[in-house]
Amino acid sequence: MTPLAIALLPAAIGFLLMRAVGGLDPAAAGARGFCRHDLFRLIIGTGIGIGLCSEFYFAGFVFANSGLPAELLLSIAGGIIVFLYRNKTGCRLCGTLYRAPEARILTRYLACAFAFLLVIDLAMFFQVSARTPRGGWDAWAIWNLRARFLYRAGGSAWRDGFTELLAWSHPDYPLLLPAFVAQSWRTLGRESSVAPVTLACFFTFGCAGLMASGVTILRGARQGLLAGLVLAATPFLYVQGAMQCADVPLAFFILATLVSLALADRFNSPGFASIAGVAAALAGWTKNEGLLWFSALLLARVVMVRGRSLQAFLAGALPVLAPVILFKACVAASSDIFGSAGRTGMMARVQDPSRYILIAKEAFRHIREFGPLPAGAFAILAVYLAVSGFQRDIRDRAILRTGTLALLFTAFGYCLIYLLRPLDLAWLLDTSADRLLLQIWPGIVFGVFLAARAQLGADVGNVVGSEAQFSGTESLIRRCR
Amino acid sequence: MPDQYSKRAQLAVAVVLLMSVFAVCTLAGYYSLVEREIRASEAIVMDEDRFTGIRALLPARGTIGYLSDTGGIARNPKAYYLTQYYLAPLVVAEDPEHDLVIANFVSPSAIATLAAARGLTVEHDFTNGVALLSRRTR
Repeated sequence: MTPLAIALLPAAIGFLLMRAVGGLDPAAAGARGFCRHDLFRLIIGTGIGIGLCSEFYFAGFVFANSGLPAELLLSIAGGIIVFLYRNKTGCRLCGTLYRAPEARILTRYLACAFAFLLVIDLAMFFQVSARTPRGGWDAWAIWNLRARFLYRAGGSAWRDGFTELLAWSHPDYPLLLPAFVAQSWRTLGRESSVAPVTLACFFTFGCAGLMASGVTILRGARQGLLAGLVLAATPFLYVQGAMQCADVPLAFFILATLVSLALADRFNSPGFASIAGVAAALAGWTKNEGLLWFSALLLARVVMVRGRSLQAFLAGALPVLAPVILFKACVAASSDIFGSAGRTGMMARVQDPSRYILIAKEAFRHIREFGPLPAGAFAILAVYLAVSGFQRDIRDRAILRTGTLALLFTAFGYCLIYLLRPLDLAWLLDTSADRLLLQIWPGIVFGVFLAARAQLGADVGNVVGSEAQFSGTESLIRRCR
Repeated sequence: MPDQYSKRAQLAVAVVLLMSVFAVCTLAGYYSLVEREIRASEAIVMDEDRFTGIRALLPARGTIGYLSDTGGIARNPKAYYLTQYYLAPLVVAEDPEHDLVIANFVSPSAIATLAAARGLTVEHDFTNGVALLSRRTR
């Protein structure tokens, strides 16, 4: 019951939010009430709910209240909206897609393979969690340490956890994980490893679930299951998840941003664009690299599609970014890159060619060995894309261009961080390059399965309704050209 | 249609093989990865119980110093980081230049000698390598 108690409120908030703005439309002919796309809404909604609860908890500290009234208010508001519109709106995702009745056996086989791998992953996740319930080094020395400061300290003492004396624990890192863990302890009434393990479990398996359900909506069940399989067959994701590192939640939010934005483009939906904004902003509330992702995506969107859906995106992002800005401006210590220590010798590091060579060499090595799979996960994906070929569906061209450029900007940003950071570069690359790849790995897999031609016979994708939205995308692409 | 089915059948076989490879790779990958990650994590002994007694004697909030016989922060940061983790929300500074200092020693017998050398007095020795020291100003 303990994990349920932890996840119930964020899941309710997120799901209701997704029901309220995520693809429900009075004009849509799809299912009224619950439908098969609610699993997707539940997964992405729970992630968003966790992020929002974490922000409310943090805001509660700053404004000296518990944060709980805001959480309850939001869930009640979402509940009222969903209740009022329960019979007046249909699921747009149901209304515009159809399923071909062929090759069900193959779909079932893929579903079984996906389930089989997830069972292995789950067993491994719990085995690792049982042996290291407090997680890896980063988990206890950064995230759970900060959670202890928030949970144990009263009054204004929580700010002590952000002193420069604790610079080794990165007091400039955002607080999604620590604040949610502390809030869960408050709900439970005691400190327990169950809270961070539950959180890690959700984000780890949520990545595979979000991938499978998101690609299923966009490209059909078989492509969705194949995409889910690729994540299910990435052992590094589950081991790092069990180690409670923040790279996995960040990977979840990067994927959530891309999936939501793809749905926003496909269905011309401002609601999904605002969800994408919320997810991108929550990536920034998870880790500093998430702020890099937010900036990269924004820039890519402006460059590639002249800021289409930008208003809705920013409408979702800005309220969620506000606590991040508040934290960075008023609470966080200076970062080790741009603080006084980082600025010392920065020019020398930039002008050192050996650093560039080492970064390139190690990046290729880590890409080759990522997984770890004998053939290399990136290589398998590249072969799949080469064999499948590219689909010619112009409806996804905007998100493919935006997503690819955003991921490239982000990867470039990572290289820049390596270049500037005042630490032993070889050690830094050795200990973190895999985790940085993990952050963008689900986003890359999503992009590949969105770009690849559905060789196994797509069972969705031929939009039977909403010609207007199709022509809207077409005109957008024309503008891109 | 027969062509389609033939192509689909071929692809299905390819997918079956691919999935089998994925599954085998996953198992093989886990074996090496789990052992590597867990070995690194299990090297850290969570000995929080040692600090239960001293927490009752420490203030609820503030900054205290740190003294160890394992070569200081530079040589053994792990012990210091863990001490901070156990004692949060108290801030444990890296140096012993504070009125209250926590001693985290591997050799309990060395506490008194090292504390005296730093001008510190042993307030309470928990006989498990952990002690509360204080700086007496004269």
